[in-house]
Amino acid sequence: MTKNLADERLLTAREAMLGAYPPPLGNEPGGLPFKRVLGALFRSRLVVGTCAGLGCAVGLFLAVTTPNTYVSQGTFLFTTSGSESINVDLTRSSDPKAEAISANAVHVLQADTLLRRVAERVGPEEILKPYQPDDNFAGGLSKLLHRIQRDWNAVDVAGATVDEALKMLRKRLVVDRSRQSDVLIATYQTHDAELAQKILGVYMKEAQKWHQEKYDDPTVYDEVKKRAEDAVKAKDLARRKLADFMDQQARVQEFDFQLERLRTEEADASARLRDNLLSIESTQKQIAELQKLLETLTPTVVVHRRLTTTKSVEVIQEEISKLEVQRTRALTTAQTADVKAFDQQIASLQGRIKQLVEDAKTAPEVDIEEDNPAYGEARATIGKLGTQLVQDHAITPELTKRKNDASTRLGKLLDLQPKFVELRDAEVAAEADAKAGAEALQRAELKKQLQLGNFSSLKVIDDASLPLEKEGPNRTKLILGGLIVGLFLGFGLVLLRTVPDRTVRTPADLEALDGVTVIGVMPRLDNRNMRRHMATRMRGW
Amino acid sequence: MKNILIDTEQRGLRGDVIATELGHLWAYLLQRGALANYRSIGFCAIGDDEGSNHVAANLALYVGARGLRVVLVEATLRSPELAGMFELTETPGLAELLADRATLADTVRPRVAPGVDVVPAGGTTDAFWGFTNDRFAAAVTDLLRDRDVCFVDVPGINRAPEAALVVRSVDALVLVVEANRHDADVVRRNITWLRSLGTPFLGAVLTDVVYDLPAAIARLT
Repeated sequence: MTKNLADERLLTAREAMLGAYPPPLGNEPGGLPFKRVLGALFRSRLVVGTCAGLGCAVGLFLAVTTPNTYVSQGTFLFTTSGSESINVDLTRSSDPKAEAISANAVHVLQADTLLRRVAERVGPEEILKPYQPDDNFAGGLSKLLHRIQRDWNAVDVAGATVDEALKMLRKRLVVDRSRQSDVLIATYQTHDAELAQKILGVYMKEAQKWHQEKYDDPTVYDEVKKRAEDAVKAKDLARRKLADFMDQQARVQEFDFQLERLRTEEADASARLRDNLLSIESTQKQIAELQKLLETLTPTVVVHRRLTTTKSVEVIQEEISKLEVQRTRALTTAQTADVKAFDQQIASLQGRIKQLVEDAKTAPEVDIEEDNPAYGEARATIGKLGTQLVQDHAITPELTKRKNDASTRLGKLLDLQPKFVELRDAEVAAEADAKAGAEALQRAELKKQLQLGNFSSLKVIDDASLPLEKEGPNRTKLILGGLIVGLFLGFGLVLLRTVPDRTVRTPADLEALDGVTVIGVMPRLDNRNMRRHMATRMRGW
Repeated sequence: MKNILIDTEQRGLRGDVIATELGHLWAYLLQRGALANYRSIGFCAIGDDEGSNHVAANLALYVGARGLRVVLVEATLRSPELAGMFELTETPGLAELLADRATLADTVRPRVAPGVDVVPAGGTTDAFWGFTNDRFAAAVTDLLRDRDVCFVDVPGINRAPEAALVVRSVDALVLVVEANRHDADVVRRNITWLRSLGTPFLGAVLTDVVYDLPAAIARLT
């Protein structure tokens, strides 16, 4: 046996080593064994019983106060011809498509407008008429129940509105479509058999009219025609707007072509102006360089060479040429003497030239001042470049003006481009709508010519029936349902209480604590409990 | 168990059940060293009115009727019951002994039942202070001179601060737990506390056990 806290810790450590603490996986405390749940249910049988009783009472109350219901039924049928409609959506460019009318029939036949017509025809007071069970053949208990039902379901219908009746119709009228056929079944449920038949009868007549309104061929044709005409008008309007824009604002025939042309023109003018400015800059640089060069050069240079006789030789040669001309004339006139004289003079002069050439070879060398060819060439080039510079400067304003004009016109057209695109797209869309509308009209006309009219093929094949038996309520089911719901509610409450409950109730609960041994069990001393205790001890725990 | 004292001559279901369970309890105590090692055994509970005094009294009657000399000491000075249970005079009792206003011989009611002597609680206004000295331990020792075993009804350990002092003076302890009353964590904490006092803890007795399930259904589960 332990004597102090340290020993107690030692005990816990020993238990841990033996595997007693912590408990093995799956055996942790806090589970909810079936036996514990069952025990809790027996222990809380009063709660469960009370809940079940309450549920039963609610079910009984519903069973007593719920009025009888009767269901009247009628049947519609779609005939094969004209069982489809053409849907034209002018907001889209897709083709019109055919669709079975019966697919939408349930929704069409439950439209509020239709139900409102029924409410107005039957009358809100009639539709909202309170439950009035017949006491003629009822016994004492039935009379009492009828009285309770009358009192509970009593409503004041004086001054009832169509809207209230409409709500009631929405709730009680059901239109159902069979999956495999074109049959529609309409039912109306209320607390009076004749009233159910009456309301459903009115509904079926109004439904037929309503359906014909919705799917009447002339209406559809006119609608399609009107849409097609509207589309054509819209197209014309779009075109006119575009034309006005081109004439008055853009002032061009072809917007895109003009825009492209102006872009090219503006680019060309810009390039020429840029070339002009570059040329001016380049010429100015060249002139400056040549002027620098001139500063380093002299106008004349001194040349050291022999004194030439070139001038004399040239004079003599010129004389020889003249003599040869005279000689030729003499020959033509056949003056032989003169020819000989000329020949002698020419020979003499040629000898003279030879003599001059020989003299030049032996002539003395002298310094001669001559013009500087480089200097002259530079000056000439500067002159030329100056002329070019003047010319370039002269054309610069003109090029600038041309470029600015082109930019201005291009900018104006670019500003107008979004508006142009919008108007052009509108025109394209309007054209597509007009085309679709024309096609839809063509189909509608074809149907009209083929006399496929009267699209609403909704026929009544079975009028509203007079219900011979009540449809509900099933009072036994109501009571049993209340009982079952109450029982489950009670079970739920007990479970909610049991899950977190860790009260020590049995020896097993006590022994589940660490290292506790139960050495005695004393039952509560009432006979039933003691018998159960003895039975448990006999069985062993 | 409440307000029920065993009648050793009683027969029938109640007598059988009580006798059987007391027999099991005494057997467990013997097996854990009662008489041999532990002659003074305290019966304590977590709260008031859990049946520790009835367990102690009935066990005393049970073993006294079978030839042992037993003394039953009521240390629950705050809510004395044994005098009423055995139809004894209330004073002088343990309170007077601890206050030195009476001798041990004055406080003992001899032979209230076969083999059973009783020391009732007596009357006092300060239930705590009398246990702070060694008089109670000395009285227990004196009582065991000519008796086989001493059962002490210990005050509720969550109610009375003197419970720890009483527990210190006995050889061993038995915890009485009333079923359907305490959370498991409460019981665990109290057992840990009792063990920490150093007195050997022999086990727990579960009282007022209620069997919710009928025997036939319980057999199936």
